[in-house]
Amino acid sequence: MIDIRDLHLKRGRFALERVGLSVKEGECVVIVGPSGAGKTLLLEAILGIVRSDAGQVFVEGVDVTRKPLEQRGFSYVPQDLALFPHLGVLGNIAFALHPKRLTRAETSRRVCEVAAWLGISHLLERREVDSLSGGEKQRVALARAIVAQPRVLILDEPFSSLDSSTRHELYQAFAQLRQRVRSTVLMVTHNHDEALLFADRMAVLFNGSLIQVGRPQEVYRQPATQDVARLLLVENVLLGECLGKGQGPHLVKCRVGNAELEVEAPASCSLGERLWFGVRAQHVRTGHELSASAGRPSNRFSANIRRVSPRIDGLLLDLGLPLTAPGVPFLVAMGDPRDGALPEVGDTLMIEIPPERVIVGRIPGA
Amino acid sequence: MRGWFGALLLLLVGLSASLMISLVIAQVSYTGVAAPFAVLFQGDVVDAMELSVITATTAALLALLLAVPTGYALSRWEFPGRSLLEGLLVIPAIMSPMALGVGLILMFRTNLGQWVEDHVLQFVFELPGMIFAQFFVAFAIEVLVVRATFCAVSVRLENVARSLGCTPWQAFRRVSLPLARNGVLAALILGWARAIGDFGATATIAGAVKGKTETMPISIYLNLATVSLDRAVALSLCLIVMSLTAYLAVQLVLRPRPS
Repeated sequence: MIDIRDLHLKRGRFALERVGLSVKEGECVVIVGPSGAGKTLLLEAILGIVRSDAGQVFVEGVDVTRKPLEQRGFSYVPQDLALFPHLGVLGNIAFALHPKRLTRAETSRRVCEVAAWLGISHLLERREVDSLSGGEKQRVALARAIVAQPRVLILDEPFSSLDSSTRHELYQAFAQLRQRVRSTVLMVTHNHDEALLFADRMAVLFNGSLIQVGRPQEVYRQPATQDVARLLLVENVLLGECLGKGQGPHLVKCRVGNAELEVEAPASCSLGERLWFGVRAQHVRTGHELSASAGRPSNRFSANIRRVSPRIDGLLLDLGLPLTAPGVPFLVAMGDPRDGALPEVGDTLMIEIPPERVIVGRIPGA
Repeated sequence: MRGWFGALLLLLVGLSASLMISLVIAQVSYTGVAAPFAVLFQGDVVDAMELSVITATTAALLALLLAVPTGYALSRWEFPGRSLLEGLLVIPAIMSPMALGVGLILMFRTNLGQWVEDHVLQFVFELPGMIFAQFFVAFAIEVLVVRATFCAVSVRLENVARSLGCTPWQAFRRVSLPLARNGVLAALILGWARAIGDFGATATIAGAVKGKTETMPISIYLNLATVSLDRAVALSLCLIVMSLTAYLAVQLVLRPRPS
């Protein structure tokens, strides 16, 4: 459907470097990346708002690289929604149908249908879009974007300005909308919930380069680099080297900091090879969880609690461990203790890092 | 705001206002209140007003036809030398009107200008020349206001309109121009006010000929020269009222919409 080939674009000291990405018909691809990664610039280059220095954009096999925005078949919702302030709700939605030169009855039918899908039928008579709430504006912007049944819907952080509860309402509305309208969707976000919820595939953009593209679960399970791991909220990223075969059939022993850690071996891992390790805070076993896995003494550490921070679902502990350099936090998530005894700073805690839960990656050039 | 700084500001604002008010009081106290009103509806004064309104309105409208596309393009395009081009376009607003008039006269002494004078339309010492001079002063201020207005209209609105199938022209006509409507109207009012008050450029290209090129400012000059102070003051007060009305109209047009 959309085929982006070697897109290159330089703006001052920043450059999009040879970006290549394919989006299949009906697919939703979510581009994630930190602020300043070039997500919006990439969308603008695909849309044709900014001209790329090199590379091509194909839509349904047709090269649209030099075609103007209006001839590319994309419908665009920018981060600030860009509702037309001189038009009411009806005028904004119907705006998209004007170039199609439909009859008044057909325009009205389509507007009413889309408004009903998004639950904004009661807003159609509103003459001022400025007075709408954030969620209402969002729904109007989505309605305007899809009413003309575009081939491709391009969304730039569409839910970023909403409060948490409104955002979750909109997630549901958007998910239902996707079932009705089978447009291909290309979305930019820095919200991981949105990526997991909507993406058939996600693409990770870092410093203008696409680092990784894959199904969301795959990308979350095995980030390609340390930077991607940190972006995808892997709390503990450690460095070390391979020491040789471990105790289990697929395990290798690694030196990490001043300790040894057993992990599942990456393919053809050689002795002395430099590796990085990612450990999510919620994957570390603590306290009562350890008894269930008794009999496997590897990757067990006695740690000193340095800080205790509350979380919605329990606690986040900062531990002093020989795996990390002095002063570098090692974070462990812990549910609310059953006996009600809360861990305190200075307590000693036994933890275990399951080898199969450790993300392992090679350090390029090491 | 309280304290010495507030008191100082109040004093300086009062001084500024009294300077401006004294402009009116000085004129009225010299001739008395009744005298200017007595000559206000006399034939030659009315003729001057009529000529001023015709030339200024025509010039301001013609200037707007050029200022809207020019201001829009300047607000959207990035290119080397843009600041220089903007400077060139607004020169008539900041240069001496007399110097502008000299430039205009010499334009019609070139081969092309002479040909236009001979075959198309006579400008020098004629009504079209007056409109042409006022066109320049109106255009400069209009293009400044229009450019600033379009800069305030987000280009993202146009991008969204284009993604919904509009051509650049349709995006301009259906989105940017309606949103810039009040700013364009304000530009027209300010351009008109600048044109109706112009003396230097108009008098230089069209001359100060009584009964022929006698706009309100030229009439003030001619009446001062013949010591007809009542007429001069009446026309001067008229121009002050027109300027104040134009300013208030701009304020009204540009007031924020209640949301």
